[in-house]
Amino acid sequence: MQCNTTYTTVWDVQNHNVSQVLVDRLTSLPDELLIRILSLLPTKDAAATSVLSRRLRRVFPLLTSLDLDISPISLCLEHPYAIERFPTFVSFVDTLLQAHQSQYLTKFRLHVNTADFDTTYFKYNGCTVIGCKQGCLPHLKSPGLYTWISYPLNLCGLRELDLRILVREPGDSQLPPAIFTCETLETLKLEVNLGLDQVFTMPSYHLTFKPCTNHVNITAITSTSLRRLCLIMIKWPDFQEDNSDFVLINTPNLELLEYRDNLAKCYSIPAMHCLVKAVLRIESLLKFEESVPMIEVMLSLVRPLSYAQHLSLCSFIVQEFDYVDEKVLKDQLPVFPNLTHLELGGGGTHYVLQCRTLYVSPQKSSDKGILWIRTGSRNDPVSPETCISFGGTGHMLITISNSKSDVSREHIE
Amino acid sequence: MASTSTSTLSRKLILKSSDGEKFEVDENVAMQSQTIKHMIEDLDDINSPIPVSIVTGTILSKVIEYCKKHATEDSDSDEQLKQWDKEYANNMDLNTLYYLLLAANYMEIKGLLELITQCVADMIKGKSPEEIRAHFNIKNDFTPQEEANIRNENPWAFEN
Repeated sequence: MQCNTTYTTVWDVQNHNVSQVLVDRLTSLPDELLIRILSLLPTKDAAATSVLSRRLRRVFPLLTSLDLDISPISLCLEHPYAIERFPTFVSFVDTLLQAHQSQYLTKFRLHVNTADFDTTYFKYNGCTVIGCKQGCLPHLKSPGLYTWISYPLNLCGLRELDLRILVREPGDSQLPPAIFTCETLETLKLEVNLGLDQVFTMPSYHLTFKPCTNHVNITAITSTSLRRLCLIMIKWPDFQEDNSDFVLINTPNLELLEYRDNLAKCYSIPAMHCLVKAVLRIESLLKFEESVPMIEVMLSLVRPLSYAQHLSLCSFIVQEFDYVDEKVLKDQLPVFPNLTHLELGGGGTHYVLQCRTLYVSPQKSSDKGILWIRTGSRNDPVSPETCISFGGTGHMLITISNSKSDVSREHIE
Repeated sequence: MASTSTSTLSRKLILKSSDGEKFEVDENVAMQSQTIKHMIEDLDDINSPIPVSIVTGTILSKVIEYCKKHATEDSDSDEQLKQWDKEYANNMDLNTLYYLLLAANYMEIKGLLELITQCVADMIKGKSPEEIRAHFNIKNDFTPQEEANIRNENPWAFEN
């Protein structure tokens, strides 16, 4: 839906020819259309149009989509960039939300973080890659932050919520529980270091959330409307072994799932029959003293996703499958009847994949054949048919041809 | 323009623009407009011209061009269709785009409405207020003092 934004088009030529364009071709549009157009812009740009004319200033508080992004900004102690923008951004958001008048809001996007955070804070085998420190993150506190995040949930019609908020001192800041029960939401993207601790009891269809004690760490997402869910939980190295106790994702109509977290102790995820794509990245396993068998936990995470066409497994989830006995894995792994695309990745540059093999069993219950994924540096060679590319980055992409069962027979022991 | 002898797969409809121009189109082309779809449901005689009252012939022909392209499902991939949309919008001058937007809104053609609103939004993006005013011929009805006040209220919006 993108249009070419180069300026050398017919209308520019016309602008110089004053006799042809004398009429205002923007602000004479009906409110409804002006609101639509301004709602497509980043809110910063939309706000700047308030200065154009009274009409636009009047329409601005009626936007149906808010897109607030302060990046690129770095509050890094060692490499600050554009720090002076931060206070004006905070007051902008405060003013905006107070003045906003629309009863409907379809999209709310709020990005407050440093750009390079993602790549710099990874601890592996005791080695920490030095990058930004937590002190570099923006200083945002409740209740102000809570007011910002709660705002879209109090309006009607929210379809997309995209929050990327990493704050310096999360403390006991929590996300509003209403996020997980919003009945209109189709896309949810969370990349936050705020608490997600929610406990709910479910008497019939009514959901009630109760705050819980500090050491309990429960995430529960329930929504029938949700189509896309992107749940990325960033843990600081100090909390690297901070595993959630319980994760519930009850989203029967989900089409895309991206999940990145330390392995939780327990998952409750009903099967997602509409799933098209799932990306799982497990950053850290359970502590050794935990009595839970890790492979079972992982399988309880993978099993509900068996309808996916595109499956991407990264980091420890691949490593763990590698350790498990082949027979156990074959018995436990589900059938992936729709799978056409499988991606296996290591944990960044630290973990280089060995030779990996894809098993496809002969036909059993499904007419498309049963697919076993097992990855390992056992004696089996990687077959040219199943392995399309195998880069040196610890990342392998396997595309399975439609004739799955043909490929399969060559690789069953 | 009476429909010719055939018993074709798709019925023909006649759309009549505000300036009296008539267009014969396949039903599945016209039905992309929710407004026309609703009108047909209430219509007894499908052969009489359907008035599209606020849309001129010039604009209606462009609307039909879009609807025809999007009515044939099989021939093009999504990527090709996007490319076609892009070229379609880029070939319009600002005046045409303006009336096309009003027409898409009135006729309730979701895809066309999204295409044109995005196109106008892209024209605003990345331009300074002065450039936007010049581009769309917007008359500044603020005094310099008022304009300065607005800028001061929301400094973040005007930072580069």
